[in-house]
Amino acid sequence: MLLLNAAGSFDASVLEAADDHGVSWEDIVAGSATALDALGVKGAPREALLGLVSSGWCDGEVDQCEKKGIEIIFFGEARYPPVLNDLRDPPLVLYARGKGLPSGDAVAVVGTRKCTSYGSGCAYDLASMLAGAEVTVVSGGAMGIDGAAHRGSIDSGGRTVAVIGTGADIFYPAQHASLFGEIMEEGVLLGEFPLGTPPRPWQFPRRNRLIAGLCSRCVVVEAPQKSGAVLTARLALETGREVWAVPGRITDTVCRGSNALISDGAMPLVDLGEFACLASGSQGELFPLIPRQGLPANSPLTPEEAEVLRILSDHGDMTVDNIATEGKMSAAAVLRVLGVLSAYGLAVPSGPGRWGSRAARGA
Amino acid sequence: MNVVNGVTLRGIEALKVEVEVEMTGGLFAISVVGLPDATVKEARERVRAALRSLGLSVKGRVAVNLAPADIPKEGALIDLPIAIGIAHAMGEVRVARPTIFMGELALDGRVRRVRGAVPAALLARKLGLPLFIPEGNAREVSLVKGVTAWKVGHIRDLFAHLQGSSQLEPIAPRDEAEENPEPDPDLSDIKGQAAAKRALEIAAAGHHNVLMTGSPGSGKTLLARALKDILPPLSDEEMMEVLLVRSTVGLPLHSSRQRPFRAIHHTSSTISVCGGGTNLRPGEISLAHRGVLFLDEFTEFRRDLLESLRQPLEDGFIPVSRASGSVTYPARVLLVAACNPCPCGFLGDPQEPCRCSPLAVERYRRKMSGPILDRIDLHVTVPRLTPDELVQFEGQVGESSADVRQRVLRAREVQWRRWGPLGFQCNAELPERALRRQVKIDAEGRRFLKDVAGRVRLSGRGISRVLKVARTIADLAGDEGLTTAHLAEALAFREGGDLPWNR
Repeated sequence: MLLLNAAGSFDASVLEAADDHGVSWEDIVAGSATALDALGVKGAPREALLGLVSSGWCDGEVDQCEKKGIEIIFFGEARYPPVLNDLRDPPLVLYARGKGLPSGDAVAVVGTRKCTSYGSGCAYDLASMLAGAEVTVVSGGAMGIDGAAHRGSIDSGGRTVAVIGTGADIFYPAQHASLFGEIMEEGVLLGEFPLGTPPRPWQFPRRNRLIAGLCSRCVVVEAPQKSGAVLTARLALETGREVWAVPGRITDTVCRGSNALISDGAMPLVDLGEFACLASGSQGELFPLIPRQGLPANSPLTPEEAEVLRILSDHGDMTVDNIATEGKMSAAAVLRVLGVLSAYGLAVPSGPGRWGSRAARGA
Repeated sequence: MNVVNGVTLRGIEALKVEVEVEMTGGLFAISVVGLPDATVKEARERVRAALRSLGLSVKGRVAVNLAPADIPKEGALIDLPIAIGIAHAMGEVRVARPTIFMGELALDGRVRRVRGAVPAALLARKLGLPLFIPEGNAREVSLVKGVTAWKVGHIRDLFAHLQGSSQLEPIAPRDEAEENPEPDPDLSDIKGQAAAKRALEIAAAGHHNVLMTGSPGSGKTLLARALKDILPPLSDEEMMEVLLVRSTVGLPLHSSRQRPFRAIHHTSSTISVCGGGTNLRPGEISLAHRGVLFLDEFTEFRRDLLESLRQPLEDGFIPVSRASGSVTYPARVLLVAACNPCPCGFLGDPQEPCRCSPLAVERYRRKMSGPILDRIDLHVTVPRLTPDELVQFEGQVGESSADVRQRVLRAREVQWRRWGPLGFQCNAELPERALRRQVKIDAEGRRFLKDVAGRVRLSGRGISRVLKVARTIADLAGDEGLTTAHLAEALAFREGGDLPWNR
């Protein structure tokens, strides 16, 4: 199976075909011409397969994986996530790196790499709430929304799955190396490409179908019209998953795709807390807003802090001057309050010299 | 004993050069020995023409020795002593006692302005010698107290003075102490930007280096220029140091008590910034000594240039070594760096969309890290105000630079009293050990800092910086101990504290 996977363009359907034609495994692995003809394998994949057979690549790959602590999961094994069977073309092999696949409900949080602060904030908050509700967050490990989603889940002690579009031994993008490290501590890196596969554009749409398969709900946070995230949403729909989208500003190009999904019938995600309840299957129970980032229990907000937070959640995108004028405070006092609020994660910078509140986005 | 002396410059220091002249019969020739550079060799022609303009024709072989012989002599400032030396040897004038002359000669005998008059004046004061300087240098030399100096407009007047037939005008010591220039720009002229103004106030009070991040057109340069006017005015001693460097490069005197402000462009060469070249001239960082050095487009600077700024930022001086020698220039500057949040500059802007790929932003950000960032205590972001906001702030009148300066002065005094006995002057200079021992935090503040440091992943160095800035904030408020309030405000200016908008 490893062989077929590495030769590319094979999926689990090849196994059915093999059954239908009465072709045995041994024949394929031996590279028998009749077996391959019977399966209709020809051209480049056939050559690649024969090349791999003759070089004894298979054993080397298994050794490598063992050395690097990467698990290989085959189609049909008990460990193989059953949800992937819903896909039209489930992968023959999964490479898993980390704590192993989490069971239970999973929500995919996907979006563009070029996101706005609003988008990454939403993804972060959503993921951290889902983590609080013990829901696994699945995403693609890319920059932007994906990264924010993974980060949110990790920061709230959740388990998260990063489905990667490269070999499992390659960290792409390289800036996320430390993030991937943290993901592996509790969650897992998952991929279907052989070790050492570099990032190539066509691999990412293939990766997206795994994201769609692994989740039960797919949330698109911010996505322009033509994007991987919109593709993921379509695949998720085809696989029978619920598709949600976070409404964005209609003037922003990065929100065109996600907003179009809503107008096409995707569920608009307007309340993070409610969604988290729904995703975890529990009813009416409220989750802590942002578990790791709240105020310490023993020091409630001072009146000044509460006032600044109110101003921020009412308006958003405020400069220090605006806050000072509105709250009738000195600039130094405002900065003092922002220092505390930002340290506790309640106020976040939304751009150079501008501040917003996290509560404004949250539940 | 030789009575005719000139000077040559080494760094910002003037060295006495004795000018000896021997005249013998024979065909006319002037030779100059004693490691003269090209300008000094050319002095022969200028000297001969100037003397001829007085009706004095030089005959025979003239040997001019510039002692000590092993120091390279540079510059046209040695024209005048050579001319006087020749006239003295011819018996035309009599120089009664050792005297220092400096000046470049025009062919018609006028004496031109030279660079290095202030170092020469300091040397003359130290040696207790009288000094003759070009008229054009009179203003700067008048600021040096305790030197006996005369200004020379034309070599004819100097001859008359030395012959006793008329008197040159001595230079009267001048005190520019109270001259207080208008702040340009005044803080009250800058609308909005409360956070940045506050950061500048703290920077001025504790001598903390600042990094401003903001979109193009947000006013970073204006703010940086305002900083020099909220710093305390130069003291007499500092003024002399500034004067010394300016005189060494031959820049005209600037309004005296105002701190220097030098902006350097990212295409500047390392030599123009740090000093050097064949003549070992001081660079921009020395011209900004005791003032503000502004690096706009901080991320565009070459790494080796930033690397070479690191040591002077720490030590307050910069050694320049070349084949021709090695000198030390002063370089105690307050560094203000400015940069855009991303390559296109509009990341996080509420109006203009950013056109940069995440990778480009990441790469841009990475350029910003590095050795010099460790020397920057204050990080502040500067918003580009929307038209609405600009209109809204139009009517408001902010604090003037003079008011802020009062607070800064008070805070400096407190620091000076506290750290003076320990051997440094301001909070930014605090070494790690003193920081840990001498900065007192109350129990609640300590708890808060511990809690927050974990949450925002502050490094050890990050904590030190927060502590230093908090100490300055407390000094501005006149508080003795550090409390949560001071620490909280310092946290708002921490590195990266304002940047996670593209997490």
